[in-house]
Amino acid sequence: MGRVTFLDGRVGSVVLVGPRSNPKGAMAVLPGDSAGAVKTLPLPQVMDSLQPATLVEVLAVQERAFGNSGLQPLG
Amino acid sequence: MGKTYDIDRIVDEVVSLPSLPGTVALIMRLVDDPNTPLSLVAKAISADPPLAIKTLRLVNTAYYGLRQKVTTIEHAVVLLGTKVIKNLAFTATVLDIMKDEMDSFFLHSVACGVAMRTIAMTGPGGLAIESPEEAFVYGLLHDIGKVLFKKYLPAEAEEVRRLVLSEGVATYEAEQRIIGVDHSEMGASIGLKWKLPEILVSAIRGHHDISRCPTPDEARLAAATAVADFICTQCGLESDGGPVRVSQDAWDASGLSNSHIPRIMDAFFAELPTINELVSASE
Repeated sequence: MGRVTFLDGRVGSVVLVGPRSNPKGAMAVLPGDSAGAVKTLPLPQVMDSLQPATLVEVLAVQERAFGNSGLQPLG
Repeated sequence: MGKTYDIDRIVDEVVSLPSLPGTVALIMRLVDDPNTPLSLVAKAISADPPLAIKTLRLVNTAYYGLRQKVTTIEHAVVLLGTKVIKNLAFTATVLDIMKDEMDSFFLHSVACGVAMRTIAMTGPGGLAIESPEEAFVYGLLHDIGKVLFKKYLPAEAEEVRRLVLSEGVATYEAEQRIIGVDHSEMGASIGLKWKLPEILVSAIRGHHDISRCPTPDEARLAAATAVADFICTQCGLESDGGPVRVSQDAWDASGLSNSHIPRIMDAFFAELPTINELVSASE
């Protein structure tokens, strides 16, 4: 989903790979502890660190890409 | 760029605000009087057959969750109560006014109504409304000013659309630049003419700028409306392709936190079939 700025100022991204029923259907990719390293965390673990608008956007895009509620698919 | 207006000039010289049909105005007065018997409200709706038919069609959608088919207004009033019926009759009327608009606008307005109801039912509470059905009306009406621009200032409305698409500015900002007045201000003018509750008028006026709302209750409703608008847009149920943002002030005023958002989104996704059903019932 492109760059995401977390509430603590870290910049990472959210990768969508499956529906929300899969806890790892959305993964946050964040800078790791050492230079150049990254760590990935399931979205529920970083949910509180997202801007509310970003969270809405992530959940909407995930539903449009992988959900079965009938929303218009992306692009 | 042509001439621009202020809200008084546009109402005086350009836009002829539609009147609320007499039956609906009467129903609203009757319901607001606690001494009005249920039967009188039912009689008032039944006396206007087109309105009665539309109201019954809406009553029988899954949105209202009634297990039995309702065939008379009297029965609907008993099952749902006068306040819900008032909102229903009002909703039927507004949908009628909007239904000639673009499909996307119509769908967006209904979707926003459903999103507002979802926020009222699964959000943090604290909205100054009597029922989730009342929240539906807030979402349904929030963009009604756009209908008037399209009808009375079609060239300017087209210019707004072009500016939104070419520069990616929000619709209300493009309206302020080209017309001088945005659709929230225009929508609030209709609300005043229709003698809608002050808090509803204020929420329409403030849904893109909550500083236009003089009280915290009004700001909270305007903010919730802005969030409903944003949710619908992110879900691809947008009105006109313009970007929709929610200011930090509006997020704060809405009382919504990240712990509420997944619940609201899931409930909204579950309600999607009812959006199409409500749209079909209005045609």
